Amino acid sequence: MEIGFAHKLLLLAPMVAALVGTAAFVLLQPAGYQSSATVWVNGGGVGSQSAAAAQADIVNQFLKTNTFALAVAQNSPLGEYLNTHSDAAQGSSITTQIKELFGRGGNAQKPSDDAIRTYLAAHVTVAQLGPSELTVTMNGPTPDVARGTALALITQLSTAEVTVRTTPAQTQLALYQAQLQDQAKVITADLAAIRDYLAAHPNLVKDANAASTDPQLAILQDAATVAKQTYVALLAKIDQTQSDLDLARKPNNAPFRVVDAPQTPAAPSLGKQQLIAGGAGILAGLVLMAVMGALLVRLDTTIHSADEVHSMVGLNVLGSTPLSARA
Amino acid sequence: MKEVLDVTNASKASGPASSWPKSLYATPRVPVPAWSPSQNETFVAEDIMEGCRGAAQHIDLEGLTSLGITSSLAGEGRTTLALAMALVLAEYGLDTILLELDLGHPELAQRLGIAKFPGVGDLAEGRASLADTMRPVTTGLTVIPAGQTHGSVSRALRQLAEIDLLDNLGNQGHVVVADLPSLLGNSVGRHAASLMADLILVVRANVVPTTSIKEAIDGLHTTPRVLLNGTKSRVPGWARRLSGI
Repeated sequence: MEIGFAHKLLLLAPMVAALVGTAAFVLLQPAGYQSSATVWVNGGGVGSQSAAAAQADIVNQFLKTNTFALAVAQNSPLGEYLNTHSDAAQGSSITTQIKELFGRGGNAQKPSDDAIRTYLAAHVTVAQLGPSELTVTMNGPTPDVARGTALALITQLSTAEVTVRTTPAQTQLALYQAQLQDQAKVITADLAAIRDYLAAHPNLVKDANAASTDPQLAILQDAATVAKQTYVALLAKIDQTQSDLDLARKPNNAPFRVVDAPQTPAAPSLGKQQLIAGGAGILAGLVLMAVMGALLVRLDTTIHSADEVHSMVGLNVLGSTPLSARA
Repeated sequence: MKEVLDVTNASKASGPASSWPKSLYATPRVPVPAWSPSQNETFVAEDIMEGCRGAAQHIDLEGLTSLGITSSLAGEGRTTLALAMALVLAEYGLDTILLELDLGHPELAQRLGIAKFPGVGDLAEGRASLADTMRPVTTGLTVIPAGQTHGSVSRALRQLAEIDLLDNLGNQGHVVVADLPSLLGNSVGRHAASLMADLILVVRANVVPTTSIKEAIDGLHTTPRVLLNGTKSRVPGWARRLSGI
């Protein structure tokens, strides 16, 4: 402790340097505007996971997909912003930020799909407020981009979830419809076969008794009947599946409902990146301080007290004085 | 003190210092009147005086003739402690002369507000008599400042040795406290230290590496004792209370 207070400046220098570096980094970051939506998750959770936690996982998984990110970007001001500020989507290096400061940054290259996904994932935060409530926050470069992207995100999230939920039914419906078309062809073929058979045996048309006892005609008629029954059954299945789909798409069955819609932020706020940078800067400063302190202790070979004089240099001590003003 | 000055004033007429009759110095130690330590407050802080008073209790004052205050490096508080130690010895009733032998970096005259010339350098080079160089500053304490040295410092120190200044002052009953140069950096410090019967090594706590101290004391004619300077903790009170020290 004595060494620490004797070398206060040396100890504080790393912390000050780290804080100055962090402050410079944070100041070089573009201003961030946050717009949040609070949503209430319908239904229960999954296993021991709460509904909000499960929904948060779903949001984070969607944020990892290009399709979702592109849809959000296209339906919000974010797409236009990233088209005109490709540096933002590519990730902003210090040199890029310095160029932007001097008005030389930014070009019109269209960002890649991966870049858009990465940007969106880095600027969206999902946080649980309770077992069924969570907030989705967009940290955008402008107030409009922040709010517009948050709105598009919620909308796209709802659409994507409904799509995911209804995809099996839609696949089933498509299968049924294909089977129905095939079955219609079977019925047409079976009826054609009956007509051909009756044309070849005109007596069966005139003699109902003969027709009823003709085994071949009976086989053809049975086949046509079965085909019709199958067709009707398929129609019923299609109706049922369609009903299920309509039900799933009704607003009452949406995966969540928006409690608080995103608002246009009035002032910039510290983003996740800035907070992380600040924390990292303080941590780095503390580590450097500890390293500096350890070095000072390790390299210190000075005498601190009268007791150390004899043991360290073998001389007798006459006395001791506080520090003289001129020393 | 007055008598001593009278004696040295008489010697001034007899020529250069090297030719002064030694018998003139051979006066008994002059008793000095008691005086209060509070008179020293303008020169040295009282807590430093207190530390030197404690140190003086471990010195054999009866046999003390010359005491050199030196240090390993410059800036360890040598001059302040030499002045404090001289004041303390004066408090003890010793007729003390504070001799400034740090001829390269003299400070005493300016600090005490006395005339810088003539001084030790002038005495050694024959431009002044001993009486001219002596400045009584307070009861029991006379200061001989560094003065002016035209030749090299080493040569001036040799000349001082030749005129037996320290022995002669001792024979007059004076106790000499010398503010010496630091021991490291050049040979002047060792040369000056070799003139002194006893040595005190000022060590500035928390600053001077032990390697410097060992190097400084290596080869000295007498083993110095240490006056540790700057032992007051730099840890503030609140930090000591928090840490339980």
